Amino acid sequence: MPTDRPTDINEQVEREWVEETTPFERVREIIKQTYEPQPVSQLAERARTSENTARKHLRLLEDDGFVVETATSGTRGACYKRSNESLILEQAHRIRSEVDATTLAARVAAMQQTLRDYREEFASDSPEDAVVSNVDIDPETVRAWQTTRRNLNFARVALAVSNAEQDLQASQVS
Amino acid sequence: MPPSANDPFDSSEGSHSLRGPIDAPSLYDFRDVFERLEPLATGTVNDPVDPTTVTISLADGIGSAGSARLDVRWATNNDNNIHYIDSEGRNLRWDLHPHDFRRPTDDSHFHPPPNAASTADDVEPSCIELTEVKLVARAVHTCWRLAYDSGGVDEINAVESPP
Repeated sequence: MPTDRPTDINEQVEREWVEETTPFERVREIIKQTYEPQPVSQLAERARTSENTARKHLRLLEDDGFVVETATSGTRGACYKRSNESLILEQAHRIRSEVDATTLAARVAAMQQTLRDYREEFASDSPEDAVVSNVDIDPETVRAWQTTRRNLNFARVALAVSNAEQDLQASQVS
Repeated sequence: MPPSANDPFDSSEGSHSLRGPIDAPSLYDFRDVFERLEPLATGTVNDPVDPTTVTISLADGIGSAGSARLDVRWATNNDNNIHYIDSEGRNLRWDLHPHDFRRPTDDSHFHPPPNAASTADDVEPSCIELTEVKLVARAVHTCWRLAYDSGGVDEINAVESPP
């Protein structure tokens, strides 16, 4: 029967997800993109598992460096989020698997130039500053600036690992 | 750099933008899920170093359309645009972000075919209530498959019970 906010598609997708994955896989999947700390109760709900199960898996993921536990706030209990280090290394690894070191060096330089151009054009140190100081900047440009800035963090580490690997190799053969 | 002229997303909708930066891992996750579920799909992230969009190419389209594609943008806070366009020029878009439309009252909404209409009277509630990227990819795939199998694009925003 049609309703204003039916849930058939959503319920079907959730059911398939729960059938096809283990609780550990679901906890890992949902915490993977949790960039702001969340209490275990909320993470458990998102992973369709119990709080005890979620807590157990979050601790394992913390041992692996995939997540970090953050300072607890009052009655909410332990909070977890994706580890920045784990995210950065994962993305640096992905970039290195897709782009050679020479191309990467050129791209990092170009992205750094793009960010300098934004700072100059909008006379602001960051897209957030530009918004606060009410310069004439449209939301799409704010987002493009934020996106390139974020992606550059990953690309710089990918480049640093490439360079370190080359240096290490050279020092080992000599 | 300003958005390029061939940006598949309507940059004139200033007040309807995603908040915050695009999340590269989410683009790859969306691609991986969709490719795994759909034999007709091939996904491409537009740039491995500074990614902004993932495009899912579909080797067949709904009804008389011979092919189609999905252009997906996904922000770090899970705001997203999922834009479908087929070889007959039919457009539609599922969105999750703050908007100025009178309805729906939440952030999720649907711009219906054939033109992904953005007029207040045309924008509809979205059938997708999920927010995790891999679950939304699954939901979009389910919607696409229902529409593909039925041969009509009009019911793709599956707000009524599937058969």
